[in-house]
Amino acid sequence: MTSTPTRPKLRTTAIKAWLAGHLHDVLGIPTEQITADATFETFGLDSVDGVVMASELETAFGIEVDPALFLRNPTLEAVFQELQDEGIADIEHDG
Amino acid sequence: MAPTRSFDPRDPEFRTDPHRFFARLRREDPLHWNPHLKAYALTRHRDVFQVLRHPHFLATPMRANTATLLRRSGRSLPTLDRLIEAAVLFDSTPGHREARRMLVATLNMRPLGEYAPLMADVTDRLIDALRGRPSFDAVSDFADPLPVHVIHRVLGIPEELFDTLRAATWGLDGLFNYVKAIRELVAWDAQCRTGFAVIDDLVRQRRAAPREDGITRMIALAAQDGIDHERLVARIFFLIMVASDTTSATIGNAIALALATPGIVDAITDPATTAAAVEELLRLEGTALFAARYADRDTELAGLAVPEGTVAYCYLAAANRDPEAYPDPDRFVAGRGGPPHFAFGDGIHACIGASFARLEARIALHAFFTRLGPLRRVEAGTSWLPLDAFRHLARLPVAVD
Repeated sequence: MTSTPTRPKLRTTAIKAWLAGHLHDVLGIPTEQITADATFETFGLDSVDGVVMASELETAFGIEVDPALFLRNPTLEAVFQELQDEGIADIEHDG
Repeated sequence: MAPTRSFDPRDPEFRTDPHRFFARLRREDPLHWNPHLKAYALTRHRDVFQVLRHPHFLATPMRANTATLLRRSGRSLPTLDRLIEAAVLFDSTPGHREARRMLVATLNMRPLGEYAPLMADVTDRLIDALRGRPSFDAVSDFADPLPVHVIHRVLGIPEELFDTLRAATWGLDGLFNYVKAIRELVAWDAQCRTGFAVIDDLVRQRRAAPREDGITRMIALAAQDGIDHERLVARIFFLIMVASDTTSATIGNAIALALATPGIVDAITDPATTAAAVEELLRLEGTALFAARYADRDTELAGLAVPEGTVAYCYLAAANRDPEAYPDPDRFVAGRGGPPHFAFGDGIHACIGASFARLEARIALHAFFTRLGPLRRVEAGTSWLPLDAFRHLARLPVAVD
């Protein structure tokens, strides 16, 4: 995996809002169900959805992530952790 | 006792030393359900053999899977699709047989032995450039370019196009990865456009002025089979791709193992045992890690009833070190006997270039260890390219003593 030389600062609320919008558009999932600890499995995502989401996340935030990011991590909380641990972004927990 | 830890096949630790994981799986959980893969992982020789020969375990449908992924992301990549269509490995339709036959006919356009002088010439040129140098990278200076030059010359591609085509095929073996990023697919599509343009041009030239070369031969074979120009171009590019990376990796892996293990260099340099040594190196450190298959109906997998759609990863590298098939399996024993190994797969998708690659590896390795003098590794540790399906060294610095 490659990490960007200057790590962008990403707010958890921004990622959460993006994901809620994406899942609402693609799968019709009510926005209020998207929380940091909700498991992706409960939304009925399949592996193709996960890879598409990773690609959309890259485009939305200008980062490069593992295509299996949403397949390997069960929750948004875990995704935040991986982005931080892998040095892909500085995650700012703002709610 | 702790249950067998489920392994993450994309873990760097697994990539560095998969054999350790395989030994444990084979012993404790030979029909391993892997939650990361959502598939079974097979590690025993007999199970891998059975699935590769099974009429209802088919090659995973890469073309349909890729199309689904791209459609759901609102894209289409028609050039990459042409490459995947040409990739006979992923095709279980009747067209597969015809495509295979054509590629076999291309590689067998002469008795195999007639390729030996060409292979030796490519090898000698690379070695000549290394002689007198106190150190070099056995991967980028030898193992990687050698098969690329060989297949390009077999096809009759002019030397000034080698670098362009190498850049166009580089990394495309990532297509076999468990999970592919959409950005990777987009990049590979662009590479295919470059490569196809080069081949397209050459095919047109050979049509106008035929030569004694592989491209001219493939044009004739395509005409016999009713293959259109676009498909022919994709097929030639696919042949370059598979003849390059897999053989490069095989030669690199063999050199690394030979430098790390006493007795191998002697077995390679003795002409009486070169072939047996190469065979044993293929078994121990062949490049293909797995072949993926799915059940096209409810069927049985190693004695277990499984539903249609079940995916099985046949770990070829694991089966090749199954002690049931090869006693003391981690030891290098040239001419050890035992059942055929799976370095080139098995069943209807077995590698069509196996004989070609064997000959190439024998010539390359024999010359490498005979002509360059005593060599040793100068770096501890081994770095592998980040590929899921192939073991391919990123670099292998060696010093000449």
